[in-house]
Amino acid sequence: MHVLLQPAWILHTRAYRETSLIVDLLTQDHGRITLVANGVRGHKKSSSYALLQPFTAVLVSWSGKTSLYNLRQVEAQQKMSYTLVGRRLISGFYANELLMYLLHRDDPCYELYQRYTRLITQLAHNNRPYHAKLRYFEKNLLALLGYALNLTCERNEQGQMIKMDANYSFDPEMGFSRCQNRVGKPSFCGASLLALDQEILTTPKHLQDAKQLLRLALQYHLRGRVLKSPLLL
Amino acid sequence: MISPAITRLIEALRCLPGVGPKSAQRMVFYLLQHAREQAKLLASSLDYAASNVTHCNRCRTFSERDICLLCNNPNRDQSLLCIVETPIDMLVLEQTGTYRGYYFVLMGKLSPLDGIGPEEIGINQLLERLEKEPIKEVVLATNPTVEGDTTAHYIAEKCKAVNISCTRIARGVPLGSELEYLDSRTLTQAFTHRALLAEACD
Ligand SMILES: [Zn+2]
Repeated sequence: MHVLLQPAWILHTRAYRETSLIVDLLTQDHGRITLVANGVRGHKKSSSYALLQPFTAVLVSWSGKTSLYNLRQVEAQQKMSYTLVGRRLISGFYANELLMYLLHRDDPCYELYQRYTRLITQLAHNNRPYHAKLRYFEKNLLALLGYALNLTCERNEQGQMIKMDANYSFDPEMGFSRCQNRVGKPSFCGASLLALDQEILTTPKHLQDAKQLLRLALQYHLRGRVLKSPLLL
Repeated sequence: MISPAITRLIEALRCLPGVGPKSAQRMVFYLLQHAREQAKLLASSLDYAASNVTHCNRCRTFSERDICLLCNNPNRDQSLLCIVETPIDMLVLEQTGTYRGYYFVLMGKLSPLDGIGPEEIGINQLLERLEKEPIKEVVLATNPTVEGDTTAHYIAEKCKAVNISCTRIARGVPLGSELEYLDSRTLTQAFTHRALLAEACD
């Protein structure tokens, strides 16, 4: 396999041997891949080292047969030099944690690459609100992984349509069911579910419901793995 | 190999970064042939350091005393606390001679994807110092990586909560370099953090 100048985002890097890095990337046409970048660390740091940082948009060439490829070439994508700061940076790490733990390697998903690009662009512009965008990213990530939430019907399509003014409880396997605001169990307002479905989250209540709901759904698929970035907020 | 003792020593030396089998072999034969006394000194110093050096209770750097020499020095500026990732960072800063305050060494950096959170970098210990000592300014000298930035942001938020001002060492174009050869991220950062020339000349 030999891929030339593939658009990609760096998700994570870790030191490997004395002067190398293992780099995880989200690529446009090849999904999440893992590369070894030889001889980029240490005293004779190569110029590619600065590019091999999370949240950098790169063009990357690699080769190799196994699922651990060798980096051949990396350069910056033009006009895509973003810097995330503060809470936005931590939200970026959150997105990366999700991708690292939920995506299988070498499973192409063009749409996910586009959605991730939009998310990072949003996070990089300090004057643009990003909470709703983060929720849509989570929702679409679940859908692209094959775990789409059905936000318009009760009990995954067997039941009635979700109503604006009703309250619902959520079960990751069963979907939504009507509930009477029982104590101890989180419930979600129908209007919030429909707003998330339409991607028109605006009110604080809708945003909060969406956040709690998606956290429940993602936790289920993370199978007990605790994400570290939410601890930093 | 004729001597198991030599084989063992060669293997042991290979734990050092940059030391392969060839160079380990060269070191061993050099020590045995030309430098027996120094070899004994090396062995005893290594043994002493490996069994006695732990961490300073105040700044967490390497130290064989409860409180390291720097923390014990009363002539430094108590109102300044510089935060670095590693003991080596602290050492190189000291060697510049520009900084006169005290230090706190994180012994790492926040890295969610490596499972390193606030607890692992000694945040509670740091908060305790911010509370008890007359610190007026925290200087963040974490590395200019995204993990370093995350760490800096997290600590800055903690400082804000207790009303201590927080600064960060500047970043940008290295001395003697040429813009043409800089990566675009460094250039963007240098541009974002540009400084007033008048201020710089004051
Ligand atoms: Zn100390």
